[in-house]
Amino acid sequence: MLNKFEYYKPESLEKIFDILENKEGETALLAGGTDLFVDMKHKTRKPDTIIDIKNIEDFSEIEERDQELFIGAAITCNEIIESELVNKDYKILADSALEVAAHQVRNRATVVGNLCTTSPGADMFPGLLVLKTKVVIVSKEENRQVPLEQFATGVKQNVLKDNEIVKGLLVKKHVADGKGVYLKKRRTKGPDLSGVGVAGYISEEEEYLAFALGAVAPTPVYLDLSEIFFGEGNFTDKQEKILKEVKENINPIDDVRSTKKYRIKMSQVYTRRILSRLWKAGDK
Amino acid sequence: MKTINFTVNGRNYKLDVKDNEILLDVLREKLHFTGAKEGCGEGECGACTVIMDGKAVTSCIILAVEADGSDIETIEGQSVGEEISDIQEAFIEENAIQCGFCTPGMVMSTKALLDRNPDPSDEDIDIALSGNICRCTGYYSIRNAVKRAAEKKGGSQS
Repeated sequence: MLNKFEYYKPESLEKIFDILENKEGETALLAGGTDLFVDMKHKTRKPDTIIDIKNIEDFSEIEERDQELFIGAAITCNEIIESELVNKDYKILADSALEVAAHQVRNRATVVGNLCTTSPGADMFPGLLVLKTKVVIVSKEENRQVPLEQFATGVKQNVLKDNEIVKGLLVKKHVADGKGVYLKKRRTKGPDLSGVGVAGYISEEEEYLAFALGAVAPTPVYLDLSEIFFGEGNFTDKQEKILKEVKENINPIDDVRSTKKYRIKMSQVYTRRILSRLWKAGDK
Repeated sequence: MKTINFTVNGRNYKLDVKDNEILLDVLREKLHFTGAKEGCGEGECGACTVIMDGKAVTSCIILAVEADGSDIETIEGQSVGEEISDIQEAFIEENAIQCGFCTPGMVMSTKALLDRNPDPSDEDIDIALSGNICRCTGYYSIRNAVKRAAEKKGGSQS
């Protein structure tokens, strides 16, 4: 049984801001509810007010706007997987979304919700990070865009203030030669939370190479490695430098999903594997 | 309390629910559709799977008020009297049922899959049923049942 709360499903952002401003006690925003209701069943969250955001029109949009992809806050993981737009130019996002939980949960769980829960191992972080995503945050007072690498501030903590809400994401459209890979280590063949999640992305034309890693630090780790990769030197040396950068920038722990040692090892293995998929050694 | 209007298996319902009531509990306890089961209660086992507006969802982590205006399908809607659906028949023929606890969820996930993809590959089946856990039958017979159901519905000719 869930604790008692008042449920609202406003049709405008203004109404959401009013509720956020005037309600006392804890207020929770509801999109898919796949994290919120589990937390409430575990009694780790007991909101007095729940605001369902699924009636806000813009929030269900997914469209390209000026070389950016807008993903509304109510877009589910399965909508990302099925989106032609995503599969054409942002394929790594569909691949990442497929790693979130299982099919039925993905019919409810939203991409933005995955970020707002801000679990260190959230599957949507690495792919969105390497694509250089901005989080569109709105409130009664101001609208702001925060680069995704600045969004998470700690384990299940982020920059959102009590009166703010994420309207959606703006994902940079990279040039056509860009390609990305997301690899996730899990304990079973079926749905599982991430033990290590690594995304890599390359655009030769833009001379851009980035990696992002989940579940290896309190917050997801983003590394722009363009200078190393497109600078002087041979592939083997560059690969070693990249592996060193990854190792130096992660800080994993032992927990039920993996040991620290295994996380360090797998982040190296996956980085090397992704690099070899993105770039055939000897090409450069 | 909120008043919600929705359809379950094609029939309209209007009822008062508390803000904090879960959809699964309302289906089972107020409307007596007890086919959907509560296993984990956290959206991980799939025993509570129903179809909501054409999509398979875990009804144990959805509020009843969120179902306002929606179209819900449960296992009860899959048979008319003693006449069962192609999917149910296929599950029996492939021995894809043992204790039966997971079966209503498996069948509803299968229906949602075949409604949108009449000729699924093994991978499509595995993805669509990834959220349905079975602890006794084994998954091969279930996958075969989905294929057989697709054949019965005229999808796969293989």
